[in-house]
Amino acid sequence: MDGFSLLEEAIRSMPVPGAPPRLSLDGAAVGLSFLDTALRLNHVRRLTERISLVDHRVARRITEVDVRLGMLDEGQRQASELFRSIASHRADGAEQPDGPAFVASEMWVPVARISRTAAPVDVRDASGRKLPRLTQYETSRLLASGLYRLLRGILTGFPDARRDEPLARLLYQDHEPRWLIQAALLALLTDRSRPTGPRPRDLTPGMTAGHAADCRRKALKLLADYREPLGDYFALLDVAVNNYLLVVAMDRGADEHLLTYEAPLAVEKPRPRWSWSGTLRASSRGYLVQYEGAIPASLRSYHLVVETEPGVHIQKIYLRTDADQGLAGELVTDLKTLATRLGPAAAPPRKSPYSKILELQTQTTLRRLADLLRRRQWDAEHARIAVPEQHLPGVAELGWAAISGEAVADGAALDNSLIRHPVVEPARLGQAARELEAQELEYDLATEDNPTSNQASVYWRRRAVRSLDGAQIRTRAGILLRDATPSSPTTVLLYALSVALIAYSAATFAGHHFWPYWGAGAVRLRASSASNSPGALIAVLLLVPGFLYSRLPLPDRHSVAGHLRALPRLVAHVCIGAMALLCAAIAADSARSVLPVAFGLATVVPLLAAIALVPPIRSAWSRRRDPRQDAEELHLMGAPHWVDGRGTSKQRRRTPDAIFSSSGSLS
Amino acid sequence: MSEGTNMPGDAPKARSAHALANLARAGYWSLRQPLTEVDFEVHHLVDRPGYLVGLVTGEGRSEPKSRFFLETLSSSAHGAGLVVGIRTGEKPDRLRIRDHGSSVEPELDFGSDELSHVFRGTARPNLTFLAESDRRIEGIIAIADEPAKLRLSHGTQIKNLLATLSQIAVEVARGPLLSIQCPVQLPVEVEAEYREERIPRAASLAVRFSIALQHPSAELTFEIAERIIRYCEERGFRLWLADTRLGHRTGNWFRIRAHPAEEPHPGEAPEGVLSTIIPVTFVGPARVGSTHALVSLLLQFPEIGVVGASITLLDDLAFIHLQLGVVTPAEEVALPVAHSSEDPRTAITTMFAGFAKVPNGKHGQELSDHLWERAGDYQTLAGPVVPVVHPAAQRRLAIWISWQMEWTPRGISVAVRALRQAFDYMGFPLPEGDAAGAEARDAPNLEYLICRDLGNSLLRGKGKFSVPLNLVQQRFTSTAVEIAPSKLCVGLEDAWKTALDEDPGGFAVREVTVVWREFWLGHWAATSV
Repeated sequence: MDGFSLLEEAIRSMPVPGAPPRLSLDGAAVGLSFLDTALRLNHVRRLTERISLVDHRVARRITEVDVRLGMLDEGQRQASELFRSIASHRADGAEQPDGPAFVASEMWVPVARISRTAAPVDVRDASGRKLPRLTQYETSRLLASGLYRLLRGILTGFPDARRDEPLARLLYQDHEPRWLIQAALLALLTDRSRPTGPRPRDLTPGMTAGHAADCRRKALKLLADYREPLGDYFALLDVAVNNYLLVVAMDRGADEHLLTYEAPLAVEKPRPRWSWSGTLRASSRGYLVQYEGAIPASLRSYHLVVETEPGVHIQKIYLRTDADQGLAGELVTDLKTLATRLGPAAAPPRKSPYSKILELQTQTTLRRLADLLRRRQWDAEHARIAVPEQHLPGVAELGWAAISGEAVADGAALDNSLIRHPVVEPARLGQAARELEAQELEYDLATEDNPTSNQASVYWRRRAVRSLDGAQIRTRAGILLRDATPSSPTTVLLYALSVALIAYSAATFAGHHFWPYWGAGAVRLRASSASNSPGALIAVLLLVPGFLYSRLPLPDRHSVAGHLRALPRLVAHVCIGAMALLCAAIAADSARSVLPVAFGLATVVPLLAAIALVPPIRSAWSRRRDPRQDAEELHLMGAPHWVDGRGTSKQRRRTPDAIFSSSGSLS
Repeated sequence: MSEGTNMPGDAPKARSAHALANLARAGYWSLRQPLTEVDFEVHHLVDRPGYLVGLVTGEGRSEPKSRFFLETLSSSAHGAGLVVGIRTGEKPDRLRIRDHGSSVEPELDFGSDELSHVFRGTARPNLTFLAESDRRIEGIIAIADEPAKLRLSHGTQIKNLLATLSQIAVEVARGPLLSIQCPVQLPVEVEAEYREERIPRAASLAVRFSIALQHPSAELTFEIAERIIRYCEERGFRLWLADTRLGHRTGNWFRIRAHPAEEPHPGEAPEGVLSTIIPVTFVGPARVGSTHALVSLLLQFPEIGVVGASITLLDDLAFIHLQLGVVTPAEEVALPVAHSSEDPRTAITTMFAGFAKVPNGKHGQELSDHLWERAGDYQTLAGPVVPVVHPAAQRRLAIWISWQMEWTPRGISVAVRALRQAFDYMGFPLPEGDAAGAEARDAPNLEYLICRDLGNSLLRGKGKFSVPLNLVQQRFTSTAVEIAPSKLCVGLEDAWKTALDEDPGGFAVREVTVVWREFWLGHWAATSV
C-alpha cells in the first residue's frame, strides 16, 4: 500500500482523540532532517554489497558504507546537534559542576534506508566495534512528528487556508479531524506492524453517522481533495513508512568512516517443479544466481562483490541497472514526435523560425540518442563483446548523423542543418524508437572481464547528470557459477571405470573365462570351493568401491558446490547401487541365469554412467572464448537484449537456479 | 481547493530522491524558524554603484554594521535597484510574534530614506514547490537593442510579453515560471563569414525567461516554442532559445528568429517618454500561475508600463519584482502606502488610485478570483519613486562572474569584498558612498547578482557587472591573440583570487571565474556536487 492508502486506512481504524497527540516540535525538525539525509545520502561516498553464496538458495549480504562526515551540510549538522541535546538533555559546551565543559564526541547520522525488517541490524565500524544505533521506536517518533509538522506546513501554505474553506476550518477550527490525522500518522509510523489492505466498512444498518464519524469523514475528504497537490508529501510518507532509517552514532573527531552491516536477503520461492534435467545439466551449464536489488538514485558509486566457497568459481558476472530508463523513455516519445513533425505534410518552410526550433529539437534528441548508443557500445566493449549494430540500424545511422558534423553542400555554401541530412527521415526515426524499446537500450551493463577465482566484483557509478526518474535505481546482477575443479567429474569418471573393472574382473576370475556373461564361460559360483567363497567376493565387491567412494570429492548436497556436482554424485551413487545389487545377487545365491546378468549390469551400468560424465568434463577443459558466444551466454543469463541483438523474446532467457532480492531495501 | 505544482490531468510521475529530500529539507528549515516561515529583506533603491557591496560589507555606509546576506538576488536597471535576501539573520522581535492570529503574517518592518526603502518581513513558503533544475525551457526575447529613450510603448510591450509568457507557463507548460529578467544582455553572436564573435551590449531591452517543465518532451517544447514564435512574429521581436544540445549549457543560445524582415508591428506606436519608475515587489509562496495573475492585474492600468523585471524563487518563496514606468514626473507621483499585507488587488488599487483603470465588468470578477487563488496571500512592497535614467549612449561591456562558497557566518561579504579589491586593482574602482556624475558613470555597476543554496553546504553565486567598453579598450590593447575584454577578465580573475587568498575567510570561496561570455562561467566548477 502506498503512503496515501496507508494513512487513509489508519484514519479509518483509529478512534477520534480528545486532545492533540503528543509530538515534539524539535523532534519534528530532527525527523525531517534525518529523512532528508537518508534520501540525499550526500555523505555516502560509496556503497559496497558483499554477497557470499555457499549454500543452495541461501545468501548472506554484508553492506559496507563509506561515509564522510565533512560532506554533511550545515543544516544536517545542526539537526544532529539538536537531536543530541534533546536525547541527552545537555547542550554541547554546557558547564559541568565537576570538571571541564561537556563536549560530546558522537554525532548521530542516518547512513541508510533499509526495508522494514524484524532482524536486528548491527552496524560496525572499520575496527569491528559495534556502533550505537537509534532504535526504530525512537526514529519513528521523530519521523511522525516531522511528517505531521510538514503536512501542516504544506496545508497552511495553500491559499484556501486563508479564507472560509474546509481547509482553513480544519486547520484552525475543527480540531478533532486534525487530531485524528495526527494520531493516524503517529500510529502508522510508530507501530510495529502496518495494515496490508483497505478494509472500509459501511454503517451498521439502522444507524446514522454521529459526531466521530463526521470527524473521520472530514479528515478523509480533506486528504482526498488535496491528494494531487500533496503528491510529493505522500511519496515522502511512503518512504518513511516502508523503510527503516539506520541512524548511528559516529565519532565526530574523524571525518572518514567505514561502516558495515548485515541485512537479510529475500529468496524467491523455488520453482514449483523440480526438474531432473536441470539438476543434471548443472555440471555443464553452471549454477545461475540472479540478484535483484535497488540502490538509492542519489548514490555516487556502487560495488557488488560476490564470493563463493573455494572450489566454486564465478565464471561470469554482470550488473545491469535501469538508470537510463527515463532518458530512453523520453527518447522514444521524442523520436516519434520528430517523425511526425518531419513528415512532408508537417515540415515547416526552410529558414523559418519554426524550422529552427525543429532543427534545435532534432539535434538535441539525436545527440542524446548518439550518446546513449555510445555508452552502450563502451559498456559492450568493456564486456569484450560487440554491440551488433546490424540489429540497431536506425539508432546507429541517426547517431552518426548527429555527431559526424556532415553538412549539405548548398551551392558554394555549406548548410549544417541536421534536418536536411538524408538519413534523418520519419521512417528511420520511427524505426529507431522501435529499436530502443525492442533492444532494451535503457539498461546499462557492467561486467568483470574474466573473473577466474571465487570472488568477482562489478562496479557502477552515477553519471554526472542527476537521475530524475525516481527514488531508486533497480539493479539486476547475474552470476554464473561453475565447478572450479574439472578434476572432480574426472575422478568420478575414473571411479565409475574402476567399479566396472572390479565387477568385470571378479566375474572373469570367478567364471575362469574372459567373457563371463553368457555362453560357456558364464559365471557361476561353486559353493564348495574355498577359493570362490561368496563371502569373500562380496567383501571385495563392496569394500573396494566403498573405500574409493569415501575418497571422492563430493560436497554437501545442499551447498552450491553440491548442486554443481549433482551429476558426478548421481554417477557415484549409481555405481554403488549397481555393486550393491550384484552383492545381493551373490549373497542370495541366485539362480544360475541371474548371476551373469547381475555381473553384466554391474559392469555396463557404471560404464554408461561414466559416458554421461564426458560432456561436462569436455566443457570444463575447453572453455569457449568466442565473443559471439560470450554475448549469447550473457543474454541467456538475463543481460539486456542489446548484448546479443537477436533474442528479443523472453523465452530464450535461462531460468536462474536461485533468485535473491533485497525486497525494497536500500530503496 | 487550490492547486499546487501538480495540475490535474497530469500523469503521476515517480518522484526523484532529490525532490523528496528537498521537500524534507524545506520542512526542516521552516521548522527551524520561529514562525515556521522564511524571513526576507527587500531593498528598493535609487541605483548607485557599490550599494550592495556597502550593504554586505558595511563599508562606506552611514550605518556601519554589515548585513548578513547569503541567498541573494540583486539587480539594477534604468536608475532603480533591488536587493533581496532571505534568512538575513537577526530580526526584530515583532517579526517573531504573530500578533494578528495564526493565519496572518506579522506586520512588515519598514524603513525608508530619500534614496531607498527597506522592507523586512516573513512569508510562508510553499513547501511542496519542487522545480527540478535541469528540466526547463529558457529563452531571450529582444524588444529593442537599446533605444535612446524609454517610452510607454516599450513598457506596454514588456507588460504584454510578461503576461503572455506567464500564461504560456500556466496553460501549456503547466509549470512555474522559474525566473524572468529584464533588461538583459543579448547573446554573443558569431559573424558567420569570419567566425568572429560580436560583443553585445551589457544590457538591452529584452526579456530572459525560464519556465520549468514538469513533464518535458519534444512535443511540449514545440508547443511552447511555437506559441512564443507566433507572438514574436506578430510583434517583430527577436528570439533565442537556450541551446539544449548535449555539451551546451546556460549562456549558449540558439537563434530562432533573427532581425525582423519587416518593421515592428505598427500597433505599438510610440507614445510619451517615461519619466518615473515605481519599483514594486510581490512576495509570497511560490505557486504556479502567481506571476500571470499579478501581471494580468497590471494590464488593467494602461498608463503603467513595465520596463524592468526580476522574478525569481528563493527557497520556495517567489519574489516578483517589477519596475513600473509612468509618464508622470517623479515629483507628481505619490504612493499612498509603501507596503500592504492585504491581497495584491486591494493593495495595487489603493497604491495606484491616481491612475486610470480599464473597467472590465464580469471579466474583472474572474480576474479577481483567479488572483485570489494564485496570489491572494502575496505581500505587496512598493516605492520609492525613482526618476528614469534613460539608456546612455555609452556602450558598456558585460563582465560575468561566478563563484562557489560554503555557508559561512559572513555570508557573501567575503566574495564581494575581494571582488571590489580586484576591481580597484584593475583600475575600475567601485565608489564608496553615493557617487554621482562621471564617477558613477565610469564605475563598474552590478547589474545582476544571484546566489543560491545548492545543498551539500554549497552556494553558487553568479553575477554581471558592466564597465564602459571605451575605458577597457583604452587600458588594454587588443592583439591578434587576445582581445582587450579577455585581458581585463584574466586580470580581474587573478586579482580576485589574490584578494581571497589574503582574506582569512577567503578559503570558503572557491572556483571564482570572471569572463565576458556567460557560457564560459564555472568552467572550473567543483566536482563534488
